[in-house]
Amino acid sequence: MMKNIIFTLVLCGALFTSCNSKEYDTRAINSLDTMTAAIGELKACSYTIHTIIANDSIEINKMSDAYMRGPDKLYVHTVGTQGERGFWYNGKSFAYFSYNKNEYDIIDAPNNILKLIDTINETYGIDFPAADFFYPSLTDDILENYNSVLFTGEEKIDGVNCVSIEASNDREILQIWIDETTNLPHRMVMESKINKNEFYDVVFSNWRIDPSLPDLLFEFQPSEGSTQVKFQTKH
Amino acid sequence: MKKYSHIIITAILLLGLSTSDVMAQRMKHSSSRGGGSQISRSSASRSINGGAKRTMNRSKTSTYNKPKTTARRPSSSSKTRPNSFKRKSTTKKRPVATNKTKINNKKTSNNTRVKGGNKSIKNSGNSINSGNTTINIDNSRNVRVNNNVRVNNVHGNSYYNGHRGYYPYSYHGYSGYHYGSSWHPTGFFIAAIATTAIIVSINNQKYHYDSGVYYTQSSSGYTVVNPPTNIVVNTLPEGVENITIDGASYSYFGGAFYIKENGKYRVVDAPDGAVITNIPEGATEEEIGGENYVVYNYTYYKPFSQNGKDMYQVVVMETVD
Repeated sequence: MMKNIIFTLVLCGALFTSCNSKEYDTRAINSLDTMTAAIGELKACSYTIHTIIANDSIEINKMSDAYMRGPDKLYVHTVGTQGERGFWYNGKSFAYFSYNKNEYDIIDAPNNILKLIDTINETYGIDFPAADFFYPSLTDDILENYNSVLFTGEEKIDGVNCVSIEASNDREILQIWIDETTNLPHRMVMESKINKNEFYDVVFSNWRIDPSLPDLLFEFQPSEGSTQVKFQTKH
Repeated sequence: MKKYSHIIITAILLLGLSTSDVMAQRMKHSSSRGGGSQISRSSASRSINGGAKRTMNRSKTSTYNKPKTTARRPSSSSKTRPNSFKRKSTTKKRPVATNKTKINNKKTSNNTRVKGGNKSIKNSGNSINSGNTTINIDNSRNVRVNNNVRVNNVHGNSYYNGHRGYYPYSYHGYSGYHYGSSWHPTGFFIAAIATTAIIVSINNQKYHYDSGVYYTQSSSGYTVVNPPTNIVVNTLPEGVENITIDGASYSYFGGAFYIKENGKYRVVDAPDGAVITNIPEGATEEEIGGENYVVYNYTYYKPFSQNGKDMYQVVVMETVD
């Protein structure tokens, strides 16, 4: 029995040490800080994002156009495995429209983009594409959640010169490629260490910096014949 | 049972580490560190996320130790991508670690922007709107009052009671129509163009045409421009609206009107009185003579309702002397 307890304690100790061993690269952190600052300076932006989400049983593939204007305007149009959908947020309400089903719903919304992203994800399970990049504390969040954050080189991805950063913890590997010219994210891959078939992969393109986005872009008006269907909550 | 106690304890510990679902939920973001609740509402803070934040107690990055392993990729990263991965081949390859051992002090500028990313196409028609004022009708729509133009009476009166006559004004909100993922509004910039794009030209100016959208090329990418009048293309995308006015047939797509000639399509000026159902994203609203018009690609559209459906009719304007 004593041997078992000692063995368990040694194992736990090793596990604990492993969990808390931190390895951070100065350049990786500087690059993340620079990217976070560049995003934080945006008054408005738009981009296209190709997302692939996969696990053992599903693969979701979608292309989204996102338009944002700070602090409280958002419009996303998505076409992919889950059909064609639109999301409109005007600072007061959030509207969802399924082009395939001709169904929509409109709900009250909080007063800024981040709160909205949090709320709709928590309540309805709706993912905003690559939402992580738009949290102002991204670098701190990565440092908190990953045991190692390393600079892994420079590479041209889709013709874009990028710096590459890799973070990992016991559960997953996160890779981020940052456009060297704009300091904006170009690609992110999150892969599970537990299930090798699970990954989340996004590629950005068509970045527009501080474009003039009219209010009307963020307003939703139900089309003729469409039906209002209540959002299904996650819980 | 005691024999297996250490196995049970270990299993419980390991389970505790694997509860996170890497795919369904992304990184964890501390609410105490600047999520949505932290965004300043001051007018100075119009950033999309309130600006970058970092914890006060985080050491300066320069104090982090640069690990000796910087140039080495973690062993786990060498695994191959899942079989189901369908990203284009150009992005499949994981980056190769460089052999750099020193921190590169190359300066990066937060202010550097994509060349051309902010380009906007000069609207030669803007001069007609000089002296306009902007009012906010209902706090959600910016409507420009345009006193410099009026409905062209020659066109309007000649056909008012005929089939080209203008429909009674019936205001309905403009909501930009999205023609799909291949369609982009004027001024939109992309670094790379679809392989399906073809080159068309007029007046010694080359354009790249793809799915009803026209691009001009610059050193850094492609910018969407308004369809050039008289340019000819072989095909139009799905979703074209067919219109007949005064015996002439037109095709309409994405704010542009075409006539068919010898099996090809030529861009023409918007025909007076044409009725369409969709105006793309990026149009503006102007109040002219007490009525609101939607303006896109220098063309004025009057909103009206037909059989309960929101429609728009082209109205030719003339400059007020």
